[in-house]
Amino acid sequence: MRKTFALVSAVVLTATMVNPVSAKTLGEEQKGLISANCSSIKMQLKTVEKYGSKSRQHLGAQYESILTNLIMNLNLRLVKNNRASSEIAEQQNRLSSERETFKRSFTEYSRELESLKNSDCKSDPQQFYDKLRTVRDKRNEISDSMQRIREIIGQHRESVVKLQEELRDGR
Amino acid sequence: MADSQNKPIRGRRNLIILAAGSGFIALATTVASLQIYRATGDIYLDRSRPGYIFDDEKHSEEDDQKESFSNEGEITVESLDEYLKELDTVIKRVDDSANDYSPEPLSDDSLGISVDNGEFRDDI
Repeated sequence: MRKTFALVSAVVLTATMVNPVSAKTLGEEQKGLISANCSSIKMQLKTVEKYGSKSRQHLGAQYESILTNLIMNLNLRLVKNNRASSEIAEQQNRLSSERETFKRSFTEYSRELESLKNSDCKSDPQQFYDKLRTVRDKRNEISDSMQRIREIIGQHRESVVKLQEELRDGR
Repeated sequence: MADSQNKPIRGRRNLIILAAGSGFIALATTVASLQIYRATGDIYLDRSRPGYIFDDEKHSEEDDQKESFSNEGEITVESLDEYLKELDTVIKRVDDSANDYSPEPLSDDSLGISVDNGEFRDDI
C-alpha cells in the first residue's frame, strides 16, 4: 500500500514538474488589460499567424532544396565515385528527420494558435493567458528545431570543406 | 403479371438506395479528406484560405530559385567549390529567416498586456 502510494505520488510530482505550462493565476490588473485589449490582441495574433505560415512555406522550401537538390545528390555522386562518406550520409538522415520535427512542431503550434484565436479573452482572460503560454512554448519548439537544422547544415558545410581539403592534398 | 406490376416500384426503391448510397459515400469521403487536410497540417499552409493573401511576395521569388547539384560527374575541388557556392546561397536565405519564430511578437509587451508594478508577469 505504501509502495503504491509512493509510486502514485512520484508520478503526480513528476508530471507536475515536467509540465512546462502549469497554470498561474493572473493579477487583476493584467486580467483587466487582456479584457480591455482583446480586439487588438486578436488582430495581432492574426498577423502573427499569417507571417508564421508564410515563413513556414519559405523555410520548408529551403530545407527541401538543401536536402533533395544538394545533400542527396552529393551523396549519390560520392557513391558513384567510390568516395562514400558515412559522415555526410548521416547528416542527410539527421536533416531529413529534423525536417519532419520542424513540420510537426509547426502543425502543433498552428493548432494551438487557432485555439487561442477562438478563445474568449474578454470574459475569460485567465484561460486565454494559459493558452497563450502554450502557444509560446510551441513557438519555441519551432525555433529550437530551426536551430538544430541550422547546426546540421553547418556541420555538413564543414564536412564538405574537409573533403575538399583532402582532395587538394591528393588523398 | 404480378412481376411486371412490381418492377416499377422496385426500380424506384433502387433509385432511392443508389441516390442515398452515393450521397453517403460523397459525404464520407469529404469528411475523410477534410480530416486528412487538417491532420497533416496542410490547412495551416493553404494560402488560398480567406485572409491568407499576402502583399509581401519577397520570399516567393526566392523560393522559385532552386539550387541544384548534379549527381553525375567527378568529385573535384572545383565541383565542391560549386557545391559550396550553391549551399551558401540557401544558408543565407535560412539565416535571413532565423528570427521568424522569435518569442517577441507574442510577448506581453507586444500584446500590450504587460504589468510593470511587480504583479505577476510571465513575459518571455
